Amino acid sequence: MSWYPLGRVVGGTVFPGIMLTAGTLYFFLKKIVRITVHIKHVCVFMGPFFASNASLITYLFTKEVSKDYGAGLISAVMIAIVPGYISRSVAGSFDNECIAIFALILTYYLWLKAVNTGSMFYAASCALAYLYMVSSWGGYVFIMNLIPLHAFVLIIVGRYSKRLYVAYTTLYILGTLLSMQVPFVGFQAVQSSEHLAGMGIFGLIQLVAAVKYVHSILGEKYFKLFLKILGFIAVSILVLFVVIGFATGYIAPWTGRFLSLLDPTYAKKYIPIIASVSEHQPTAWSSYFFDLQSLVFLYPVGLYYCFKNPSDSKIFLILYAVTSTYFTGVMVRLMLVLAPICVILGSMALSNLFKLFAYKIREFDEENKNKKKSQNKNTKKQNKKKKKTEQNKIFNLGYISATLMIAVLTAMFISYIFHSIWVTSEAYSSPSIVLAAKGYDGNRIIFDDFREAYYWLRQNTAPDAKIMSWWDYGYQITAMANRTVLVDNNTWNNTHIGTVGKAMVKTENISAQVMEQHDVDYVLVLFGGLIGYSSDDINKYLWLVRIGGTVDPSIKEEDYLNSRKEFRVDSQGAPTFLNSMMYKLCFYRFWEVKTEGNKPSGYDRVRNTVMGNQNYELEAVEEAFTSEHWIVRIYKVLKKENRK
Amino acid sequence: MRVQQLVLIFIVVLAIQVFSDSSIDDVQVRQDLLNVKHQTSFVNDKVTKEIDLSALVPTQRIEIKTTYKKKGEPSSYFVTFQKEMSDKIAFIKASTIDGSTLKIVKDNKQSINGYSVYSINFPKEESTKKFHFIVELDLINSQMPSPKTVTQKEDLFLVYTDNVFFYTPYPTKTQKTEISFPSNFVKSHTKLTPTELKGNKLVCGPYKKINGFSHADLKVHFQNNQPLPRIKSLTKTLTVSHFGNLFVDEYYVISNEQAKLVGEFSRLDYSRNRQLSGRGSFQDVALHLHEKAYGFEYFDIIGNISTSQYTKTNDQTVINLKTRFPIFGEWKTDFHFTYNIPLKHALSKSKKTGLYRLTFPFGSSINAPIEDFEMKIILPEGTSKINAETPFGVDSQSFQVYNEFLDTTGRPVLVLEKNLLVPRHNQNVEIFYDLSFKKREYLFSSISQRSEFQE
Repeated sequence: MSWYPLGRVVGGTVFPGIMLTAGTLYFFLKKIVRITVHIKHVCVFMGPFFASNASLITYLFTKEVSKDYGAGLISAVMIAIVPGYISRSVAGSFDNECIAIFALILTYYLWLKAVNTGSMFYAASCALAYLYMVSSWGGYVFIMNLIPLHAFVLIIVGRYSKRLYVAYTTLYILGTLLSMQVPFVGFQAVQSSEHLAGMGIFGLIQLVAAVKYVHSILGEKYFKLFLKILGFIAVSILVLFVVIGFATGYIAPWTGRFLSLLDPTYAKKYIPIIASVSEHQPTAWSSYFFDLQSLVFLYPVGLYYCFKNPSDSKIFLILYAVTSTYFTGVMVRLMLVLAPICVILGSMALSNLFKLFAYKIREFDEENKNKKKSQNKNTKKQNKKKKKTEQNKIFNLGYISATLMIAVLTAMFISYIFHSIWVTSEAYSSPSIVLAAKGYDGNRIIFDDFREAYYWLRQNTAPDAKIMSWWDYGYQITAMANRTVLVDNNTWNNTHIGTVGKAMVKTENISAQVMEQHDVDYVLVLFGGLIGYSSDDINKYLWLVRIGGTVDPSIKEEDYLNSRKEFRVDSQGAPTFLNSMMYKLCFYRFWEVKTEGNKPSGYDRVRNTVMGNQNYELEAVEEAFTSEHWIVRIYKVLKKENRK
Repeated sequence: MRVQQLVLIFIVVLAIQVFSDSSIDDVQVRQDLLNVKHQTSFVNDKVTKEIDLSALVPTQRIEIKTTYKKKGEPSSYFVTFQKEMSDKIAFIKASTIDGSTLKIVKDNKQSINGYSVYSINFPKEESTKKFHFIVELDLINSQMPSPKTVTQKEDLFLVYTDNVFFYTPYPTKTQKTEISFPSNFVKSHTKLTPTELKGNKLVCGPYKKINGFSHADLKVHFQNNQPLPRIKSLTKTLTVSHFGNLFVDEYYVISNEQAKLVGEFSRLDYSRNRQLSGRGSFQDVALHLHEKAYGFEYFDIIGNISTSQYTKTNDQTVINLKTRFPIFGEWKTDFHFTYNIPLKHALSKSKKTGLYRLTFPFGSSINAPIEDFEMKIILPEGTSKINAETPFGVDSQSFQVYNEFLDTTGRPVLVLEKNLLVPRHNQNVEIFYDLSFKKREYLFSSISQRSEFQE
């Protein structure tokens, strides 16, 4: 069980898509094909399997947009290894995103197909793909806003067509109805503000269609008057609806995650829990290059080609590229959404450039051949020789530059491949649960502390033990230790997380009270000071303070910073911090340990300083288990009568 | 002289009276147990009972010199054990002084009310009336930690209880009991004179002229800082593939029988000095496997365990495993260990009967007692005439059906179960079976060597 003592309605708080997919695949393999597999192995290979599907769909998508097989093939190669996506599709990354990107590209592909053909069949298929996307990832909101945006832009630039009308209306009605079937979404699909754009454009497109129809009946003269009246009525109705909707609370305001997309500083101000996740931080420029490499240069070129020769689908690409680029700037996680469009535009650019220069070379070759022929004919006419050599020189220059460009592009492509492989092997392939380091002699040292501690919990605590830890480790404890946790990664209840934050940052007495109220048996903290593991609880501490502050106003960030507004663990740190529960749990008896030869004992290798508050005793808890390298420390909460 | 002897006998009788818990029920049972004929037919001349508590598994070695008092061929010699003892006997063996094995059988007819009776039959050709032989016992659940809980830095003590005398139906002329301890530190021991503690050895006796069914409580409280690993359960699954592979999956639930650790577990103290602050704990486990074993995997439900290494010698492969965390008293952990053996090293075919014979060791590859043991042998599809031969009895033998890959009718699985095993049970079992329709073994079964899937 998780979220003790509240419990959590699993169906209403998770997207079921990935579980359904894994279950279906497992059923298919086990019961129909009769291959002996374990559901675990199905889950492990979901990522690569869906990445390969995504690769196929990207081929179709690019081909659909650019009408160019070459570009399609290049895009299939590129998306197969683009680091931005491979981070979510390596074996073992059984996450919503691993199927969501496939569903996203599929939906977009079918949408473009529907717009280009005006076929209701494609629009309906698109709605199904949309349903799959809705059931698998919260990022479906992006689709429900981008497609209306596309329709809107097409109307604005005068590209309205019956094809668009058929595609959009079919998709919107079917898609919305289907998405409402997902329990987690339900009536949000028509009520929440995130979905309003879709509804608005749906109304608009009806209006436009009606206007076009009336226009064909009325003459120019009456039409203008009609337009004025209609416009007035439409706007006033719309305003009325929105005002009534918000006033009655029927239309929910924007959720925090969505608002922080529009206003990058929103989350930091109001919802620390969203801002605390490292994936929700704004992207550093280097990570664009890290995750996209040469696509960073190629995708503007692709955009240029889109502008140069626009079509309905190319306008879609432009919109997709522009919006997703903005969103990645806000949240590093959305690099995942940017990667496919970068690949598509980049491959279009590469294909076009290759073609351009290859044609140049071919042209030259053909001319050369013609000349050779004429040369053969006129071998005897040697008086024209001078002119020919001059001509050859000029052509040679063009030939060389074209060859050079092709060489450069090829090199770019090859370096992209090498970079992707390197990134995949270095950054995205190692399991974050097992840490590895190189020893002085070059040997690999493995820090398997997490699993050691989780397995200890699984084996040597009461089966109904309640474990309190920061929410980051909730899922891991639930799955690996098979024990009840107070909060986990499904951050659906902020006050409960805030309460845990409070228990960690307050003094031992208050913390003991909170833990007693919540029936806590064990507290688990992460401490990296012994081996220099930097993502431990002390480095997350200020987030605990901020989130804890949302439930208890007496927790203020300033109290945990010293007079110079610094957060320090040494003797110059703020006393509130040095006496807080989390500090005491992390550093208990660390003052006796000598971590580095030339440093005094109690030297923290993450913060590079000697711990401040030393020689204290724990009263409310006792050390129950500490992993080999001290990364995980588990304390048993003592009953009141057993305390010292 | 005579007076002295009388006094001695009086003391002994008094001691027996004091120490024995001779309720009426007991007497009744004893009478039921054996009739007088048996009681009087043998007289033990000399009995030496050696109890070894220094090893992981406590053992008893009882050396008996006895004389048959009646005319003619001696009938069975009966070895009896009291209630408390009979549950603790995991393994029993009898042999003559020169080493040849004697047949020892549990007499279920006479073993009533918890008492157990074993009968030994001497070879017929021996015309002598004097016999000299040894009974060996391996005990399980015989020593208990006391105190039951300790902190990390405390010494660990065990209590062992038994009968000072050899509980025999026959009168005994002289008996001596020797107990060896793992260390010199013995907190307390029974003081039935003459008793003397020399170093790590306690010598009780010699006692003279002891009646049949004598009992005097033996209780020793001694220090043992060694870990007491105990396999709570072991499931050993063999998958036979006639494409030439034998896949073995051993699933261990292992714990420590030492006193429960209470209070703080300090990693700091533990890593500083394992002798002082890791008393009675263990983290290293050694597995002794077949010399040709290969393709090892060491994992549990949350994935591989990265700390293991192996060494190969001429006659065996030794795997040194580290459990995820040190196992203190009453802590436990579980893991799978899987490996393969080329089938030709375990399987042979009899030319006479045309039957296959699979030979594989029973019990665990780890040197520790086992509580629940289950051995599953998954044979190829279409196997018939399955028959198991074990050197000792098993508690239950049954058949299951196992389906994997493209199986149609399923593979027969022979399940052998036995409780309370000691390392001495690690003897080969032989499974005979017939597989005439080789066609039925599908191509896919060769892949079955990786059948770690359990649901």
